[in-house]
Amino acid sequence: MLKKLLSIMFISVALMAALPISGYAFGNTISLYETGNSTNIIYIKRPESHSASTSDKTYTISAVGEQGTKVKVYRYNPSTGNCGLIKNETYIGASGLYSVVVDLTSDSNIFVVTAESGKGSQAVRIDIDKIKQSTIDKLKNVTVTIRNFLW
Amino acid sequence: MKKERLKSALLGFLIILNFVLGSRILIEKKLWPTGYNFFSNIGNLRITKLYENIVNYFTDDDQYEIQVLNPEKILLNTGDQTTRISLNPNDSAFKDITAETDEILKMAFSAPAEMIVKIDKEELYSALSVQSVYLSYARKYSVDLFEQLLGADADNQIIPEETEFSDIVISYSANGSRCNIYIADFDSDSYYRISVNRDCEKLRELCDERVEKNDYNVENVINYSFDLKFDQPFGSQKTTLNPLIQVYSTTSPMPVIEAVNLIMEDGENINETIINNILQIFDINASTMRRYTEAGGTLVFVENNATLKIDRNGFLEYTAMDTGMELSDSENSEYSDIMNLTAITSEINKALGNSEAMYLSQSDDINTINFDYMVMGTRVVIETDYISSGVSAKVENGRLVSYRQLIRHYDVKSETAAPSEFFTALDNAIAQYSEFMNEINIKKMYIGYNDDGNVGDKYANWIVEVDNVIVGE
Repeated sequence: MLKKLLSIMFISVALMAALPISGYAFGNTISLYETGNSTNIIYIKRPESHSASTSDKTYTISAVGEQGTKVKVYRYNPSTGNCGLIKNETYIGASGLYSVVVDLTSDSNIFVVTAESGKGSQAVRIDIDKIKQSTIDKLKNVTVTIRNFLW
Repeated sequence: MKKERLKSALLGFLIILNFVLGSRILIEKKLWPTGYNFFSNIGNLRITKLYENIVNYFTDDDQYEIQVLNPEKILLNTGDQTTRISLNPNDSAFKDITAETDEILKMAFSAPAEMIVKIDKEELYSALSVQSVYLSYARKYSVDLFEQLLGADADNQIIPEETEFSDIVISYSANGSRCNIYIADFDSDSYYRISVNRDCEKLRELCDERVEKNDYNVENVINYSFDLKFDQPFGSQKTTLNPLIQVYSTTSPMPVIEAVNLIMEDGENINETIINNILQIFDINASTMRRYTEAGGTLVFVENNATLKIDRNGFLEYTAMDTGMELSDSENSEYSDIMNLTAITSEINKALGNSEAMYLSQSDDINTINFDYMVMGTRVVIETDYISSGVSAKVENGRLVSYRQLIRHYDVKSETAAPSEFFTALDNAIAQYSEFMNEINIKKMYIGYNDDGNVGDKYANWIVEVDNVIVGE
């Protein structure tokens, strides 16, 4: 009995010790508040501030990370309150560069990019708002007017 | 009586035929050494030019023309990444759009100094993010050469002479009433905007029309490297891509092509008619030259002033013994050298019956002029030990010192194959350096056909040009 208990304890300790090294695998759905256990596995280059507005039908997210980093992309589903996997795992190659095109299906789109490597795991939330082309045109006109006024 | 008339008519016909055929041989075949006797002067007569123009009209010599100023690719920027499209010279809209952009550029390069403003890189990027046309050229042009090829009157030009560029952007307002031209010299980090007082309505219409025709696929998106900030290093990022490299989210299948060696007849013997025609182009007199065959079957023709070698793989090499073959006695400039070489290469292609498209490509030094093959609007990148362009010629002081050409025709097959994905190709290329590199910059990345010099099937794939590798400790 003691032997069994010791074995279970040993296995548990071994698993606990291995967790920070291997990270924990992100499944097909994750919570919107998932952050992972690290902050330096992947660096999001676009959108730089992790949020953006566009009138386009798609948005290209770009990132850099170390070779071998496993990247997945999830979309937040408000009806379930969870994020579902939309882009299966991709491994960053020797260039260290990564990009993914995501569809903008609603006015407010929330994505979570996850990265896993030997160093741990990381999840980054990205918010992309869709705005109408007419709004962008109006904004451009305002900019031009202000410029004209200043010059 | 009737018999006599018939004889006279036959005699008259033969005399006329003699003059017609004789003049054709003298004028078309150019059986005289250049600058030698009075026959060469016939070639300069107005009536001879007229005759040549008439003959050219019916024989369609345009098919042997070499593109010296066409961009190798055009991107129509719509303001959105999803609808941005890339056109190659094989696209139906390419000719009309470049005809219009050439007119706009002619005006821009003739613009008064006050219309030209030095700008920062960000303004160029802004122009690429709105409705605009990006013209990507296969080689860098100096301002002088570009103006001459365009036929622009550039007395007022204030763009520095040393500026060299291969990227031009033309942006236009939504109604096409205004347009700005952006010239980018990334090497010297210099960027210029030229405003032209010209209606760009037609260009806008042509672009809108082509963009509307496009089948959109939300998975097929083109981003510039600067859109994704891959041109800016950050933290441990080892790879940077030049700002205007296009990052394609997917790749489409492309036809497989077959490289054919036109020098060989039935794959066995060297075609003697072609050889004789080529000898004439290089002013090598068939009656006075010495001919022998090297081991391996290379034909060698030796004259006092030059040697011409043609091997069984279709590699042609002309080497002048002294000062070289005179290309022009009147003008001596990069422009005239290019135009004269274009004429020689067109003549060779015509002698071969090879209408494969060729274009002026990048060369390492000012005395070397390179042309490359283009199939279905896609570059053929030649990579052999002996030549790395379709044609590579050296001109010094207006004289041709050497001329080398890998004579090829490319048959387009019905079979298609998709090149690897952008990042797969990039990662594979970088993996070759990753063991020892610390940083790497990618100069260019585009889809092309790689020709290793062997005949047979060639597949389209990504060509990755590395600019700079910094080796780590």
